[in-house]
Parts: sequence; C-alpha cells; structure tokens
Amino acid sequence: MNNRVDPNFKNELYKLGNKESWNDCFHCGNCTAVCSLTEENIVFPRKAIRYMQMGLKDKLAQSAEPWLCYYCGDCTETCPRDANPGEIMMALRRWQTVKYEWTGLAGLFYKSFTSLIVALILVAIAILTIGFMKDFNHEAIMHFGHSLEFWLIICVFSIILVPNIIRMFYFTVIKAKVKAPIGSYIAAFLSLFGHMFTQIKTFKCDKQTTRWLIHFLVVMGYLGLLVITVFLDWFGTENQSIINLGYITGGLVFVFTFILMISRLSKNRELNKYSHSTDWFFIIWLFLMGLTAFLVRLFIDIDLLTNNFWLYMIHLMVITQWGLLLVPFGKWTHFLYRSFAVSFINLKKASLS
Amino acid sequence: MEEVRIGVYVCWCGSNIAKMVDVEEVSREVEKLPGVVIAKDYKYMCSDPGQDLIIQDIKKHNLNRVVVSACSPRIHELTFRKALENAGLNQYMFEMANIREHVSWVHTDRAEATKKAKTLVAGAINRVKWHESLDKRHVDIDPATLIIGGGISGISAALEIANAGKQVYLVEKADKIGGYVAKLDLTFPHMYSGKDMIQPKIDKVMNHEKIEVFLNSMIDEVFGYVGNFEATVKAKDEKEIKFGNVIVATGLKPFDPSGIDNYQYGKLPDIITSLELEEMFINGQVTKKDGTIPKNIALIHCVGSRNTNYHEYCSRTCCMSALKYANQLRSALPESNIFNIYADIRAFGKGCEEFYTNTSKKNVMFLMYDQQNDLPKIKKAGTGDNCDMIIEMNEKLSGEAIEVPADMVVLMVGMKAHENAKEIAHAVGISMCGNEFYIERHPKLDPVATTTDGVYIVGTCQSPKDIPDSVTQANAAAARVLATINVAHMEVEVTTAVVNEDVCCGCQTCINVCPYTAISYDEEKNVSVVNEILCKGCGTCGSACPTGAIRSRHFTDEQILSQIEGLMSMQLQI
Repeated sequence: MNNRVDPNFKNELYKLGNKESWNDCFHCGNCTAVCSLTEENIVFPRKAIRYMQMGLKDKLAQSAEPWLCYYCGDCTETCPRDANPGEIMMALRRWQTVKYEWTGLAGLFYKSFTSLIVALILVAIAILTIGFMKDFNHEAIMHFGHSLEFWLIICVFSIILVPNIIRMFYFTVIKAKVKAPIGSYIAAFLSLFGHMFTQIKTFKCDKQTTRWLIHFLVVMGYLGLLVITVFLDWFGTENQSIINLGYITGGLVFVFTFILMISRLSKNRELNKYSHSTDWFFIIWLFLMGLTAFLVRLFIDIDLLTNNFWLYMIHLMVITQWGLLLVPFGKWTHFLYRSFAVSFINLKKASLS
Repeated sequence: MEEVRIGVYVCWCGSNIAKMVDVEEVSREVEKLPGVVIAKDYKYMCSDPGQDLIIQDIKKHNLNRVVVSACSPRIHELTFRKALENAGLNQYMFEMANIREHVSWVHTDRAEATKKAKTLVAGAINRVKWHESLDKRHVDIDPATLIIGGGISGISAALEIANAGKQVYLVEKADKIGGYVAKLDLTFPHMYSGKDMIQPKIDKVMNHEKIEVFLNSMIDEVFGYVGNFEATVKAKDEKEIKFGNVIVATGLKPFDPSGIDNYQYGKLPDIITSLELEEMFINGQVTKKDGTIPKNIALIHCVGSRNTNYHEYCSRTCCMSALKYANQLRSALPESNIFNIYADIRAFGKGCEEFYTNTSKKNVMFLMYDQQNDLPKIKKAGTGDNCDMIIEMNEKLSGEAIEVPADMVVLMVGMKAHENAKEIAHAVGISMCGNEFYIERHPKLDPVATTTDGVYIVGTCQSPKDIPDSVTQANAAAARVLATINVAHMEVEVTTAVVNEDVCCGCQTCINVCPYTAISYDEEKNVSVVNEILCKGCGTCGSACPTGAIRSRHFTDEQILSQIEGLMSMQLQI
C-alpha cells in the first residue's frame, strides 16, 4: 500500500471544487462533532480532510465515507477556521466519481468544461446527422429514438456503471481490507435498494425535510418518466392512464429541478453556495429532459408535433446527451455511489464490530 | 540587659485569618506570656492605621520589641520593620509569626488552628527577646560594568550603559562580536536581515569611547562584591579590570543532532541543521551536496527539544525559524515540495501567529509527529522512489503511518546553554538549572538579576529566547545597572555570619559549604574570614561549623533555641 504524501493532490482537487481552503483546517474536530451522520468507527469529515491535506490518495479511494455526507452544511457553518469541510467533502465525492470511473472520461469532463461542451455538441451533431440520414421522417426517427433509449440504458449500465461499482467495491472493501462475515453481505445488499430510492439517511440530518422531499420527488419523477417513456412507450401509447402518469412524472421532473436551479442560483444554503459545472449540467439537462418530454407528449395530444418536429429533435438530443455523457460520466452516478456506499460502510462496520 | 517590653499584634487579614483563627483569643492568651506588655488584634495590621497602632504603642508603652502575627514575612516583614524605624526602634527588634499561609489558609478545624496560631506567636515572642540591634551597611558602586559575551544581548546592554556615559568592558570569546544574529540571513516574522540589523550596532560598540572590547578573551574569576568587583581578562595580554556590576550574556550553543539515531545526521549527505541552511541562504544558494537543487525539502521541528531523552524544554524559536525557512524556500525554489514535520507549532510572539497563518497558505504541507515517543525515521530511498531519502513517520492528525519524500532534510536544532556556561557561572557566582541555563533571582518578578548582587543575566544564557526578548532583557539589565550606578552606593544585607576568631580552629569546613563563596581563609591567623558583602546570611556555615565559632546575625543559637522553646512551652500548656 502506498502511503506516500503528495503535495500536488490538492491542485488536482482545485479543479473539482475545493478552491482555497485546503490548509485552513487545524483539526479541532468540530465538523465531526456536529455531524449528525458520523458514527463510531465511521468518522468524517475531519479524517477525510486530513487525507486530502496530505494527499493520501489511496486512503481516499478506500473511504466510502464522503458519500455518507448529505451536505447539510452544519460543519461549514460552525467551522472555526472557515475551512469549509462541507465543500471539501463535496469535492472529494467528485474526485471519487472520477476515480471509480474506469474509462477516464469522467475525469476529462469533470476537470475540463470545454471538453464536455465539445462532447455535447458532437452528440447533437450526431443526432442531427441521423435525422438527416432518415430524411427527417418523423415515424422513423421516433422509432429510432425509442430503441436508442433502450439500448443506451443497457449499454451504459453494463459497460460503465456496473464496472464502476465493482471498482468502488474493490477500493472501499477489498483494498481497504474490510473483512466482513458473509451474512453481513446479504444484509448490506438488502439495505441497498431502500437507500437507493428513499435516501432515508437524510432524515438523520436536521432541517432537511423539504430538501429531502424535493429530491425524492425529482428521483421518483425521473425514474417514473424513465419507465413510462422507455418501457411503456409514452409517446406511442393510447392508454390514457399511462399518458396521464407520464404528464405527472415529467411535470415533477421539470418543476422541481427548476426549484433546485433557483436555490442554486440564490446560494441560500451552504450546499448551494458553490456549484461545479457538473452540478449545473446535471440539473439543467434533467430539467430539459422533463420539459421536452412533457412538451413532446403535449404536442402529440394537441396535434402540433407534426408541424413542430424540431421539438422532438431537441428532446432526442437532450436524452442522448444525458444518456451517453451525463449519466455515465457525470453527477448522475451519485445515485449509485451514495446507495452502495451505505452498503459498503455497513460491511466495514460489520468487520470492525 | 534592658527590660524586655514586647508588643504583640494579631492581624485578622480581613477574614483571611479571622475566619479560621480566633484572633481575639490568641491576643488574650499571649498577653499573659512573660515579657509581653501589650497584645492587640486588628483587622488589617499592614494598613496605615494598623502600622500607626504599632508606632503609637511603641511610644506610649515604651516597647522595645514587636511581634506581628499575620501573613508571610516575605510579604510584609519590610513594611513592619519600616514602622519600627519610624517609631525610633531598630528594625531588627521585630519578629513575624505567619498565621495565614501556615495556619488559616491550610487548616479546616478552627479550634486546632487557633492553638497552632498561639504556638507560633509564643515562639516568635520567645525569639524576639534575644533580638539585637543591627546597623545598616552601604557599599560604594564602581561605575564601570563588565559584560561577558558580545552577542545581541551583550551589545544591547553595552550600548545602553555606554550611551549613558558609563564605562563598559565587553569581553568576547570569539574574534568578532555579533554572535548568532550576525549569522542570520533573515529573521522571523518580519523578514528583516539579521546581519543588516546588527552591523550598525557592532560598529557603534567597536568605536564607542566608553566601551572597551576584548576579543578572543575570557574571564577567569571575578573577585569582590557588588560595586567592587575585579577580574583579569585573559587574552594575549592579561589585563586587570575593576567594575561595579557584571552582565553575563554568554548565549547559546546549538543542539548537536548526531546523537539522535533516527535522524541520521552526518550519515546521509543532505541532512543539515537549521544553521547550515542559514549559511546557504547567506551564501545565496540552497543546493544539495552534489550541487543540484533539492525537489523535496523536509524541515523537522523540535530536534533535541521537548523530549526527555535530550532536552525537556522548548527552545522557543525553532518553530518560527522553520516557518521562516518555509517562506524563504518557497520564494527561492517555487517548484519545490516543502514539508514541515512538527510536534506542535508554537507561535506565541508578536506577529508570529499571523506569520504561521500566512505560511500555511503558501503551499507548505504540515505533518505532525509525537516528539516524545515516536520520532520520524530517515532512510535512504530506493531506486524508483524518485527522491534521495524517505522519512517514515506516524502522522498524528491522520493516525496513518506515512512516507515523506525528501532530497534535503533540515533539522531544526534547539538551543543549549553555552559550553562555557559552567565556567562563567563559577567565575561570577551564579547558579544553574539542571540544564545549565542560569537561574534568575525570581522567575517572574526578577528575571534579570541573580542571587549574587550586582550580577545580571541576559539573553539565551538564562533560557532560550528570540531576539526581541534578549534585547528587552539586556536593556532591563542595563537600566538596573545604571540605577545602582546612579545611587552610587548600595544597602547590603546585615544578617550575615561572623566568625569568633578565638574559637575558630581553621578547619575550613565553612568555606566548602558556603554557596556564595563569601568565606575565605586567613592563613596568618589560621581562621575563616567572612566577607560581609558577599554573605547572604543563609546560615549554612553556622550549622556546619564543628566548634560553634560561626554566629549568624539575626539567626543566633539563642534566638533559634528560644523560639523552639517558646513553641514547646505553648504545646505543653495546651
């Protein structure tokens, strides 16, 4: 195991959000003391901040702890040194997102705004090219779009997301020498889905109910929209209840992402004060996806889509950019890392007890 | 012998004494003792009305002895002695019984405490009966001053005194003055050049008409007493000098780190001490022994300090020096990695905490180690390590065993007392702590003087300190010296030892035990002779004298035995 200190690590982290406060922390431990989520043996944020200061990258890769933080901002508000522990944890999550992603594209997009813009443009051009190749035949393009969605999900999941989770498991459990009894693996696996869909741990933090509700509605809206468009063929179906359900889920997504965007702009809470480019891409594309899906179906219902097929083209661009770039290499992955982190930490607890 | 007429005064000290001791009962009981003319209790004896009470009673009742039973004599003995003088009585016809620190503050049973108070007062009454009048004595002060050591402290004191028009003899062991400050490139936290700062002062000292500088010189032994010292300056040509005061400014010696195995000093090429790095900065280039630029530089703090295996004390300046080096290295080698491996950062001086905060923003990594139990270990790096050395350490704030790459390691060595400290201490008569730093007269209230009158200690010979503290102490000593020169004579203690030459057998036991070298041997008469100026009246000689030839004034056998008798008599009664 390499435990060599690395003074340049902090520079790497600069690009991921932590700006100037890397050495301000003098390890009073206030952040850990005020944190509602830290537990015996599962100590954060202080320890991760120390690893960051010393550039102990291996140690950081082996710590799933940053994912347990829901960024309530208590630590940052009460930090006597203004060292901004909450934002450091956020930056460390971005670093881990990059670390666990195996192709290196996440690293490229997280550290270079330009390359993400270029990639988004290339995808848009590709969609336009495909439309052009299909002579902008509405039916053909919508058919293509529908199957593209399906295959994107299959491919991204199996080629990128599953290997990344395996990498996370490798670092945080195997390399971290977590030796948990086999029974705890089953328990950890069972607890996974509860956390994945409910983020129930947020309730341990104070004053987080509204935030949790908005987040929960966005998640539910997003997953609902996914199922309804991809598996229930929202744009093609005649079933009125599916159509209505689609409107509801699509509406949930763009209404609540809009609220989230407003709060990011207002910077009214610690977690909103600093937004990385990937935070914005994630939330804007989610909003666009909900909005364009909603409008496409609306245009179909009021018979406007035929004359306004550009709308579907935009929707197709948005979901392709989303599925091809922002889901596998962007902030979307926090959905998986957060939930798996809870399970992996449960293994660690089991091995320590 | 005249009739003994004693006045006894029992103080309440507000409620300090009165709440635990029945002061009225004490006063009532002791009034019955033989010799006591009057006994009173009063709320605050030390107050003006309290003192007045004594003065009036002395006059009214024709008292010739006074006992005050109150706090510690360290606090108010002189106050009451003065009151006796004001009433026309010799100040030594006084005795104090401490019933506050020794009774009311330390006991919880009021009846027992009152008994003990009575006992102590009875002892004092018995003792004061044997007190005799002693006369004040003065000595003239020679206006010249000897300063030993020509560092920043010695130079500062010399200039203060010489600028006041008084003669200074400055004795320096080396071939030039300036000391360690002259060897400093920059000083923390303002980054002034040490060399540039001290050079004008060196020039002034060397050219001052009132300062005689002796280079390459030593002082063998200082004879005499405050106001009238003499010594021989040992150089090429010996010279006798006379002076009234001595300021010792012998300075420091850097800790030698070769004894610390973990640090490999002298075994690996690019492990240097802080002073060696200072030299590199003065010469304008920080390089490894092979002439190349180091990429990774580690500064290890607390080398030889705060560790019971080496020195337990903190050298006070190394933390800030290390931060200074971090700043200098950051400017000189912007691409380098700088590691400050520290135990605790002590940044207590003016502007120092701010300096630390600024340094921490300059891309310097701070790593904490346990300086008592777990020193970092330096080893040669392997091929492929991409550096020359690896420092293995247990980092305290993370709890991790880590490796730090290094191409140059700077050991922040602490300060030790100068190698000649012992010799000088013996020559001028000052005491040393276990670690060979000189002991001041009082650690808080008199940190400049020593227990030998007329001998002052300044700078790092007293304890590790930085430049401003050394200069402050030097100037304080200069002020003290000038004050004694100004009054031209000095009152000296009269409670000294006297030798009864008829009884003295010349065994010289007393000479060996005297801590103040105040006794000499008169070969002609075959008797010991006490120098009354040097004698502090500690009584050591008196108790050691096998023939009872030595009598300590104010601590005579009669006085002490009567006091004991007094204590015992009261014990029997109660």
